[in-house]
Amino acid sequence: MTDTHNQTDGMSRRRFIRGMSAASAAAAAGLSGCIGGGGGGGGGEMSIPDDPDSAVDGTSISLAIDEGHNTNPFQWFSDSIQEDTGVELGEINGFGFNNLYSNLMTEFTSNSGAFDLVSFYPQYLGTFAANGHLQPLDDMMEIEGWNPQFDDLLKPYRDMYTQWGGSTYALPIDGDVLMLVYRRDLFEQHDIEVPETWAEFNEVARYFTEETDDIDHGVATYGKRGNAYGWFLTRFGGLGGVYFDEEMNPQINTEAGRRALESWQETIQYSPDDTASYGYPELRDAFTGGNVAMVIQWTDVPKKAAVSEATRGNWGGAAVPGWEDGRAASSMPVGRVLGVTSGVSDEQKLAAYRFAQTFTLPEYSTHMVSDPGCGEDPFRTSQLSDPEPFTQENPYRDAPEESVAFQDMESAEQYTSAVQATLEQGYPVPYWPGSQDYINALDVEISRFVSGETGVEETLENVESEWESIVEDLGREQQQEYYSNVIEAWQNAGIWE
Amino acid sequence: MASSSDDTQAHRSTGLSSYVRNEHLEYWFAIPALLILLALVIFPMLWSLWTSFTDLNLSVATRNGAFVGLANYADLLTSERFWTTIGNTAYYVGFGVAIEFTLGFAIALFMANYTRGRVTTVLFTLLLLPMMMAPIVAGLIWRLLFQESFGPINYLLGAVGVGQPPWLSSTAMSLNSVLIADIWQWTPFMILILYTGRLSISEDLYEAARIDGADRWFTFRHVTLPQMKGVIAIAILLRAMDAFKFFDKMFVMTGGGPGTSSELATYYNYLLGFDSFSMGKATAMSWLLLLFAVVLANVFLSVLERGEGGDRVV
Repeated sequence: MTDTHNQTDGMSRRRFIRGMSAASAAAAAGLSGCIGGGGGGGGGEMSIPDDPDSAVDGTSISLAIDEGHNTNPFQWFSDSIQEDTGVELGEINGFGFNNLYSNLMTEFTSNSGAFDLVSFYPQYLGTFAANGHLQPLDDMMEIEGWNPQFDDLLKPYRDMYTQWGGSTYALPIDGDVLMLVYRRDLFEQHDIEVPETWAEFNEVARYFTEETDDIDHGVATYGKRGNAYGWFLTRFGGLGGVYFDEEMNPQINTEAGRRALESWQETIQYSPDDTASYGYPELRDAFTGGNVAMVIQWTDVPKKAAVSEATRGNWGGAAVPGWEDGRAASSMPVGRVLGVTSGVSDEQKLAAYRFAQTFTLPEYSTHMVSDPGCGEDPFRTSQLSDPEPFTQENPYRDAPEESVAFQDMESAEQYTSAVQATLEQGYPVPYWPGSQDYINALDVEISRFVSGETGVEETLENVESEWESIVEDLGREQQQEYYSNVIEAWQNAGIWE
Repeated sequence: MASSSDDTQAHRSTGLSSYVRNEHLEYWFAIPALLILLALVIFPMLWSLWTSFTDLNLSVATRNGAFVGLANYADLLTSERFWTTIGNTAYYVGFGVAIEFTLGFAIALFMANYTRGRVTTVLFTLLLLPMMMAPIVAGLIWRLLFQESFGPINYLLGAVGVGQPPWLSSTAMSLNSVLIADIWQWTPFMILILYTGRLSISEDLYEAARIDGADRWFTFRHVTLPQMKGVIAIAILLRAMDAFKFFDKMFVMTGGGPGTSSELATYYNYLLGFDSFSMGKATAMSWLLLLFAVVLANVFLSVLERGEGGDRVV
């Protein structure tokens, strides 16, 4: 994989152009009412001191992360990590769930040095790393006692979502992947099997919507702009769908794309009328509020369901359905990793890494992924092989009694085995430089599709045409190189044929 | 014989320092401000104009800012999404400002003619409350009100058997829902300006109209409207400029969706710049929007200036 990031200490011509252009874009945008700011890139070599533990002792770092329940673990663990490492988590800067990329890129390109540690979704890894915004972590991982225990990481997170250009740029903290969550009580009451194919999934959705009064709807689906594309990829991937061919021609407008959308179109019929406006919280609440019989959702939702009044003891989890003539594929949108920014001092980089490394260790992170008070999900083998912590209190919480996800081992085992099965059929999202554009274009068209504005053919044609245009805009040869290298990483991680 | 004071005077009138002090002192005072203006406004604007002719993309290292001529402008002007967002913005500004003006004018005239004292004060306080609210908070409130499954509006509509419209999830309704929130928040702005404009008209004119036997409609057309033309133009212009550039309520309520059905041009411009980081296209779009805004504002003002007697209104 080619690492194109340019690690220069001085003000390069490109960096000046970037800075001026971002600033002038903001100025011109301001004329027409647009807002914002931006500027140059960053990067640099760093030296490791003889006694790194002393070097970071008493250092305070700042963190950037998407705002909401995922910031909670940083508050739970920060005092204890400070005692262990001497690194203080001074400031937590939260951004909107769907605005994280904009905010981080703006800070990175302006080289503001505002954040030492950043939590982001792995789909941004290639862009951040290739542009020199992140510090390679390999040297720091070699420091005695600073090992992040990569051997214990689940393969997709170890070999894929943390690596770029042969270097490690991030440490995982959240193993998000889409899974099936369903109302076990209703399924048992109506003697219905957990669907294993999308055809069965739609039939179950139809049954609960049309033939019983026990629940409002059989299913609900994500439709809001931001992450709706993940729900498409989950069906598309199972049919053997790929993003591009070797020549970087879009492969979205294919039989796999058509069948994926047709199947989803049927699902939408059995969803609430306003499903097109559902984002993560609306979809989660539709299930945990007892309004729908099943959803495809991220792996934190079973933990939320287990403590919700309407679904406590009544939920079940399983891998997403597949295709009779294909396989099952669970899209892996979002998830979270921690990266150290390159535009800060060596001392800050060391301290940020030290905090992140300690944070991801099982000693802390296992209490996080088993706690319903946050959205972080298992990313270590040990977190799935031993379900017991999911039935135990998180000792770092002020109110530990609120931190127990599952009341019995049976539920905990069901959860961990469902997550394990889901991860084994993971379907990766693009994360090479520029891939955000492909995702955005797909997401907008999928949102139009879910709302009923466009049909199957029009949606696929629009995405294909947008993607072709993006490939040309970004440079076909470079994109081809990135894509083929990323596929290699996916194959190494065992989630791409 | 020349005195020493004459010598001094002569020296003053020829030296450079004298020239600076006496001849063009005002220009020298303006220089610092001018330099700041050049550095912080003019230069970035010119740079943005240059960037709009390049392929600069901050997320891809190979798009370094090579000159591409008018390609960014051509791409935008042939892009369906660009024109969709322009259409949405035209609809949002056109209908929004028209409704806000009509409602605001009616309420302002009602208050000016029929309310006095404490009643006016209480009414004003109540009417101005929405305007005092941060637009993003107003957007969040309306998003909850419009929530289709458990929102209070649909609950009430369902209770009276009217049905439950898909306020935010339908491509046909999402922009209108944002528009309703905007009208709720900014009609008071029109009321405030138009009310004060109406109070500034001399009562003598109305007295004279009454004596001449003019009815209410005639008085409105030939006294109130002409006298308030300037105020009306300012109110509409200010409100249109605001509606054109702000996308906060849309961002909170619909995020531009479903699809692009409620996406406003400035939001798309923001996404190009600060989500795709395609600076070439983003700056090109900024200049296109600026051009549209300037042309429309001038057309609006020139139409108003062609009013009765061709009087300037602003």
